[in-house]
Amino acid sequence: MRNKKRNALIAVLLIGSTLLAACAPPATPETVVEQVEVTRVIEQEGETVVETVVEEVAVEVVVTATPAPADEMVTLDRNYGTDIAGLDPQRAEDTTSIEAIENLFVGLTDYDDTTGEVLPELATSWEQTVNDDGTADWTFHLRDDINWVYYNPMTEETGVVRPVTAQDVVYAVQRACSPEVGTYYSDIVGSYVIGCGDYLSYDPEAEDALPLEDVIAGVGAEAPDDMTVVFHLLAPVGYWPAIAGMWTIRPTPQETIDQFGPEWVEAGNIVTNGPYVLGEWIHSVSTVFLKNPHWTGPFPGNVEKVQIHYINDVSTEFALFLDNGLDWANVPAAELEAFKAESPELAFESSDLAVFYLSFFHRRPPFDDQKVREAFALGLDRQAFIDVARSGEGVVMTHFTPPGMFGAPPINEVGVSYDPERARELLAEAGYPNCEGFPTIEFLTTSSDRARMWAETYAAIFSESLGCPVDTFNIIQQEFRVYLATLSPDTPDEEMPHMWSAGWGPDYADADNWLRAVVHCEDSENNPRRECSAADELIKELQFETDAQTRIDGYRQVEEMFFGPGGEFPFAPCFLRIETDALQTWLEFDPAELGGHHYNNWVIDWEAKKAAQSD
Amino acid sequence: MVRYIVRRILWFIPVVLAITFATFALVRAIPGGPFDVTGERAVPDYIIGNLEEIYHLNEPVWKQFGFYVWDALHLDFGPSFTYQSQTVNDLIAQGLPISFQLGIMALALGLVVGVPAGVIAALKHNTLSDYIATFIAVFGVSVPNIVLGPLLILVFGVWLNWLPVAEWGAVRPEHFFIYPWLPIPSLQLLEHALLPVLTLGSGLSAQIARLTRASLLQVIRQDYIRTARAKGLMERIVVIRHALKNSLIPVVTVLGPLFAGVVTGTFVVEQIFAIPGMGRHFVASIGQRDYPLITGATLVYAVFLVISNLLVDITYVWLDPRISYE
Repeated sequence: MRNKKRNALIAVLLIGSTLLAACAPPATPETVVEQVEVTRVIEQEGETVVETVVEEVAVEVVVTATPAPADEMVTLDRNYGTDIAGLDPQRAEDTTSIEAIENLFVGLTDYDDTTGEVLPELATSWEQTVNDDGTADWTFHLRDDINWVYYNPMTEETGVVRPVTAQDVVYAVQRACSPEVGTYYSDIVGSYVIGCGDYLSYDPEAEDALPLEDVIAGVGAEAPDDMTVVFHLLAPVGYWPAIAGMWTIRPTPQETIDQFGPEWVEAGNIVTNGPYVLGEWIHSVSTVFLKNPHWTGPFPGNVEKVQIHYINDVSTEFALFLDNGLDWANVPAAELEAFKAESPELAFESSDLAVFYLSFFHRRPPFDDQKVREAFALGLDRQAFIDVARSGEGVVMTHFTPPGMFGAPPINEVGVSYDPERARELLAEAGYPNCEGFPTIEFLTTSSDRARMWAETYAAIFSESLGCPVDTFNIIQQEFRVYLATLSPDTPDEEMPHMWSAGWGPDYADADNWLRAVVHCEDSENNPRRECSAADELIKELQFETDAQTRIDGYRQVEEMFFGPGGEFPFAPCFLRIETDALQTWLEFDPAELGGHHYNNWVIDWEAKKAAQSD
Repeated sequence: MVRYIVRRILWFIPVVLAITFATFALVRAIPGGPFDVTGERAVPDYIIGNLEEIYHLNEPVWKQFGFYVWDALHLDFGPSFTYQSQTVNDLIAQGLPISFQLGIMALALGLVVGVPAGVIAALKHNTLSDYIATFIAVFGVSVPNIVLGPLLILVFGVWLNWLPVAEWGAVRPEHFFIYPWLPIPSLQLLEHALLPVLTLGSGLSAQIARLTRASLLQVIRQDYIRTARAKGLMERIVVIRHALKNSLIPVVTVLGPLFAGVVTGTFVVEQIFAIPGMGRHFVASIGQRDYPLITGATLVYAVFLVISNLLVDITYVWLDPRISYE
């Protein structure tokens, strides 16, 4: 009965939409006057004053009707688990926010879903100029047909506000470098763009503080014309185009932010420039993205509407998938084996390029001894770990930078593999023959059941390969933020654990984001508290090296210095994460490994989906 | 009575203040801060410092508490550290009505099923009816929501396909995305509410049934009940007017905290059925060290708790005329 009613409703809507489409007037530009609150920093009688005024601004918008009723659109049902933390590109930190932003806002560049290659997006071309003083300028030439678009959820109308210009990019960079906005990812920009770090650390009360406007003007991004952006960098950075596409410096609309403040990202307020517009955002209940009718960029897929669900419980998520309510879902760990055996056509493997490893504390015995660290790297049966703790899901890693990153060595050509005999020899050389006299190891991990199981598996593997009794490993579980606090530089050496389990996923596709950001003795958090070495010097040299082959060779050398035979072993790499999810047969796509999925590339067999849902 | 109520309301102030202070201090005592998002890549101190300055976390704790109380008195519970464009007021305004809808329906189910079941079990003491009612009550108390919920989803949502698997079906609000406090009946709401209400209500009804039974069994053996029967009163009058009314005192005592607990959000049921209520904020905000959200959610719960306890005390007077607060 419900289906009959639904079909009748769909039929009525279909006929109605056809009639409406026939009667719809052609798109016409119209000028509306909007009141905009503008905040300015001005010089007044020798003082810097922040003033807020309301100005009337004439805005030309092109109003068009929504092309089809929402029920008839090709719809993707995607689960985000929890509400999107925010849609502000400069403030985004979590994966769901980043995925949403990927589809609402364009970057200067983007990544190819399959190859990971940097592609043009808002920028059509770019080039680097190295200056005499050692700094570098990256110039990006923008396309002129990408527009800021608004969507009114009440009237269901979209409209073009104005074209996206180079000034929007400059504004975004200045905003990312602002102390009021800048977050975790701003530091990546601050590491490269001249003046960004100064603005982020700006203290107006400091004795030698420059005027605020001078600090803002000193941020190294400028727009010589509407379609050209120039970044002034501290030094030549060959991989800047990869960073330039990050969400942190995606262009944002200043007038909308000035008008609405932090609520500029809410449905009805927001203007966006990506392949989708924000159709609805009822927090934690439902979010809808609709195809942007004014989008002129590539749109090879057919997804016209994205319905975001918020289901945090994996069992419920999977149940909704089985009920055809989701197109893609996680599978509960307890059901994974059965699912893969019974429904292989629905099982879908993908990797997010996250690498997991065992880290050692270098300032206390026994891991202050390189031989012990190498013995543990040699005694780690990675394949056994993947088989036991990960149900076979993962790829062995003997070095840190995974395939797909610039500068990554061919997989597992570098690093030591499982060799228990050599491991025992090294342990004996370190003064622990057959693990005799080996101290109890405080092994820190997070509080989940899965983390416990992983830790127990590691302990069992080392017990087997090194001959250490299982009770050598005292597993300590801490809630995630407590775990982070324990590993922070504030913890005294004597209170640090000996060993802990950790993982890392990329921000941008370059070995710099792995070896410098995670391992370097000064530029990373350096949780193992290792001493600086020649490898660290080489990492810093490679950060600003312009020759591609030199960088590739250099990073291989660093991996050898860290993880090769006789290497330093800041930690022992273990595996690259692969996960099996449940995917409906009507959905085809290539998962993006970096920066969020592109729904505009996805294809849904709509008839098949509708048929399955009506069964 | 009026003086008593006024006095109790005045007592709310130090109670709520004490709860706020305890929550405020405890969340800050937990290791780890709201901006510790990484374990590996160094985040410069100035970025953390900027964020702490924006949220006044660089001030001494007593000063932060002063700011918080002042803002809370103006019904401003501060910004959420997790949800960037939303304040704690927004999150409460969005989640609380939904939790209230679910809680009210579950509590109604608990009372409608629990009280009669308890009465029948007590009146038919040691008969088949008593054993069946007691068995169901013990079953209801013993099977946790975390088991019953997924089981109901599997049977009615996935296998039989009779009911939706998850999510809340209330009619969407037109303005400000805020739901009404009381459930507006609709087929969609009924479809979505049935399983979570059954899951949450089953435990409540079992608990109420057991209490009603035990209490009624005690009361029904009292001399005044024997007297009422000796006077020749009808059994219905004896049970409803004399026995049941008195026996409800322990039930009502429990109902106060139960009410506050279920209408301000139940983490497990809301999590299982993906209901966007308040429950998740009590748990997730601690993991995220979202200080204003933890404190705000606890404050809401505390206010509901003290109000429901007051209502319980007032109900005592009606249930047992011997109780007086004069």
